[in-house]
Amino acid sequence: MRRWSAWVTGWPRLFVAMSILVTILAAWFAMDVTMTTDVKDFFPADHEQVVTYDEIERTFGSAEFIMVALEMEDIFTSLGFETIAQLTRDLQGVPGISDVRSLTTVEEVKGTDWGVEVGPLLDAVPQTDEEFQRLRLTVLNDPMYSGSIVSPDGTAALHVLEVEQGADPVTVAHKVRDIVGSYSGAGQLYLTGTPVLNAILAESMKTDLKRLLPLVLLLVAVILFLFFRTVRGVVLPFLTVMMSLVWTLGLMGLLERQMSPLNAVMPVILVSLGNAYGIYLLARFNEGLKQGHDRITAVQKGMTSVGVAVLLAGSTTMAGFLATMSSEITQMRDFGLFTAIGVASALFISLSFVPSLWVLLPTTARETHNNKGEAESGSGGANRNRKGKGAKRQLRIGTLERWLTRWGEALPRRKGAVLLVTGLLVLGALAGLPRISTDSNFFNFFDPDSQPRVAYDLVADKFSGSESIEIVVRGDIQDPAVLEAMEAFQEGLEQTGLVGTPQSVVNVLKRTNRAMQEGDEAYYALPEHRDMVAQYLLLLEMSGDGFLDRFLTMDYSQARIQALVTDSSSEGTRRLFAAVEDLFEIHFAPLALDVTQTGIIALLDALADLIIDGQVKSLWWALGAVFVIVRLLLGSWQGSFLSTLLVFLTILGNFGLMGWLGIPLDIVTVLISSIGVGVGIDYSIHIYSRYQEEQRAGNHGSLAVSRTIASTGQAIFVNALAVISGFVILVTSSFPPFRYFGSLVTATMATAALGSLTLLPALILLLDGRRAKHRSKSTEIHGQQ
Amino acid sequence: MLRINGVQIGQKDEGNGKWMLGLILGVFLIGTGTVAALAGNEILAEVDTVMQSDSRSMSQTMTLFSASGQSRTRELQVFSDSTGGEDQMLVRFIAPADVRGTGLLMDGDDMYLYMPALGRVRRIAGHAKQGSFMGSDFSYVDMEQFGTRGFAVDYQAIFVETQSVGDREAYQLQLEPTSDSEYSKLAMWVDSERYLPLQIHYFDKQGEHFKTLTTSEFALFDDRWTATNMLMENVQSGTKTEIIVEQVDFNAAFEASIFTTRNLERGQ
Repeated sequence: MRRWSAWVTGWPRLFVAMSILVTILAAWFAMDVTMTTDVKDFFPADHEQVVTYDEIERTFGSAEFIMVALEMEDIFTSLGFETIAQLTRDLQGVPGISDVRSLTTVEEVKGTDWGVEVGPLLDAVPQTDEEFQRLRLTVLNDPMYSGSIVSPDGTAALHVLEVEQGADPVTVAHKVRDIVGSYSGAGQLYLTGTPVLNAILAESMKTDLKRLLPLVLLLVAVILFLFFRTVRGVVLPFLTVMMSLVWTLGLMGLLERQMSPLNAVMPVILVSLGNAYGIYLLARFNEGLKQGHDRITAVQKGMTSVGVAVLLAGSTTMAGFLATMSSEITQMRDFGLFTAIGVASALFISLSFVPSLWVLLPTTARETHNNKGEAESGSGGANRNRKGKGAKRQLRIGTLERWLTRWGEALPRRKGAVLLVTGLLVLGALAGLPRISTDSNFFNFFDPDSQPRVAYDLVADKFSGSESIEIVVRGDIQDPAVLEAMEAFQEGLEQTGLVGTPQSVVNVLKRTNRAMQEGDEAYYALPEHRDMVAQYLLLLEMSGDGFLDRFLTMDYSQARIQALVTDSSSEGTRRLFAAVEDLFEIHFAPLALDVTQTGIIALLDALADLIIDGQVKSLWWALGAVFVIVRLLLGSWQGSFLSTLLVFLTILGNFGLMGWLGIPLDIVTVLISSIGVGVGIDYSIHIYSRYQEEQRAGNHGSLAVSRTIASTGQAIFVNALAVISGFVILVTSSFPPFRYFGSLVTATMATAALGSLTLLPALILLLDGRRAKHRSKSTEIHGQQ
Repeated sequence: MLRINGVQIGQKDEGNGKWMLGLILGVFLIGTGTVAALAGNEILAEVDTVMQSDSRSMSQTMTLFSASGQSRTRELQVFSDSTGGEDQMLVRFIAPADVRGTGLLMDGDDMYLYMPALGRVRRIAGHAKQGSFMGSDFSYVDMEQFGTRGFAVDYQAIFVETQSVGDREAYQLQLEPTSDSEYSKLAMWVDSERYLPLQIHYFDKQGEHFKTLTTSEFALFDDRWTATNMLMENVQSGTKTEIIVEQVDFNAAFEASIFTTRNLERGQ
């Protein structure tokens, strides 16, 4: 560190110029960073569920739909039909849309007096009221249409848009949004479907970030100004976080990585955490100036004394983030990696660019007299100098100091109470754990009264739903036995009440059979012989272009059963999957048919599993890594164990809170534990190392603990305040997960800080007190610095 | 045999004055244009002569490929006739076994289907004929153009240039529809010796490249060169259809009764 500080102060211009150059380069690459909300991007490319899903899309066409619902008093009117026809035409014209299914385009196998045809359900729009009423009866009594393209009450019609293969669903969704946005016709339009939600999500997240980030920066600037009372005291840490952010995004651009809802909070994290390093260093530089050193000496001394500590504090933070790389979720690994890189950049910039620029700056009168930073640097012995403009603030810190001193003195008597309260809280948290739910459905990212949710709920309410479960049956589909099994399976599936009417080649064949027998309902059944199945299929192939492609492969070896899911909550889908597995067993196992199920909901369900799995894994990794780093740092097994125990209990508390408050574990809230461990450990480190320092100075037991709390307690208080203030801005986000994230990080940081001032010293007293009885000499390990 | 000599015209005219040059240039351009069109149409007429016949019977195997690589193969016997003025076509399915005996009759705009399993003839809506030929990448019109209808009725051709396609020399033609058509234009490469299309690019109504037909495996049937392998690829969707011609009889004489629903019902 000494040699490094000599370099930095020796060639300050070089370091400043290099940093600026790197920043400009990074900014260039950062421009390429886009945002993804595609659930498939969260999986490793070879994940089983993604492979299955992709295969089905490749074989049968898209399983993601854009849905435009038209709501009006009565659909079965000429106005209703004209509106649907016009909208259908407009939507068909959107590039990237391969198919629009609506009342005016849906195809039907029709038996007529003279023969049979596959054609539009409507040959002509009805003219009279009676004709409309007749059509209403036919359509609403037909499970193929009622609930899928017309609501059973006849007040809403659905346009189901299929995205062309190879087209980007989000781009297409944007174009559809434009059409819906500029709609001025009759009734009310609602737009939903996974691609639409993804498009809106990516867009509103960007807007949200653009609003939140300046607020976070402003708040950080205010806090910095309160610290240093100088412009450069604000600008230097500020530049540090901005540059580290640009570097990180630049690297993401260079490596062609995308932002996601998950690492959307990364900028906020970097800003909140990244400025701390600059704060510690600048405070020491100012202290050096005050002691009468010149700028270069002040920097060299400052970096030598506090540089290593800053580096180590940063390394535990990085370890916390890097631990998330043990997750299987691609975007989560990216988050961990790039946030760790961001922290590393902030560290590097704080230790190179900041000191070299500081050396180049002229000394101001205020710097030599100002000592605000000292109070916050946690180096102890602060606050003796109370003159100047900061008197009011000093007073407040004075109050804080008094409280802390009183607490520090009271603790040895109250340690039993502390342990008891902690014990109760741990029990409470443990009881909350089973209540934790997971949520991987992106639509919960929207407020219940936001436009996307309203549309989503309308489609779920008036129609079967907007997401589908997809089942693929592999075998000889032309075999009547296979078709009968499919029919029985579909009936069973519908009876669960969890889906709308399932659709497959079975429905088509039954309708064809009826049509071939002049519409006789008695023939609404599957053909009994293979020849007839084959010949009906031949007829359908000849009659309609691609009418069967959605349901049957060309070689008749795979059939798709599709059903819209009425309840797409995590719990609803779990129940559905369980029911499907049971039905597989009943209907397909006896024929030894190969069946698989997939769909967006299956992907989301798999993602929820990955979230939990990744959470547990990364938590252990983080705790392990932090334990090792702290052991190296403090040179004490006891310190390392106690500090790690404290963050562990903090995280436990966080999960308990989530359980009790009903906050689901989702792809954003899952990040809390890595931040909690990486950052929360710092407080324990500070307390324990200060305690060691006190012991070295000859103070033991209660005295050492009281002094530690009184002095380091202040630094912890201010540090926690600074970190929290960055995250607390997230509470104003328009996305519930960001709000949860903001409040939970706040609670976690507060718990970690509080625990380091209560539980940790209580445990130290307990262990060291007991040990003191066994040995005459107290354990004391000389290690760091 | 036909000569392409349009390019030579006007080459000897070298004017002195500028106006003269302009005039000659104008004449030259109009002249070559007309001659190119003339030559194009002549080539196209020659193509029809080689390929078209008023009545024929053909055994073929048709294989459909999906974009993701699955396929379905059927053997057909196709009888077509236009001697009565109207285009008539009868398709019999030979294989696979479960559709054997199924028949499709096209009589003008009417289509009838016979299914042995149902034991009855049913009429199919006429608009089905506007779509693809039995779910393949060939349209009914494509099939007719290779059979009894020819191209010259629907298109006028402009000669573009002489190119080599594979190891064959070919004339490249641009075909513009003269009446309402499902295509905006065609680009056709015609074998300069046998006058068979080696390749055809079909462009959709938006002017985008839509389908590509590639022919190969030429053989003589009744002293006429015939492509026994026709591959139609939909370049937009990735599907393709391959027709392998097993046997052609260009001089088939049919009883008029073969193109009736009663005959259709007879099965074989």
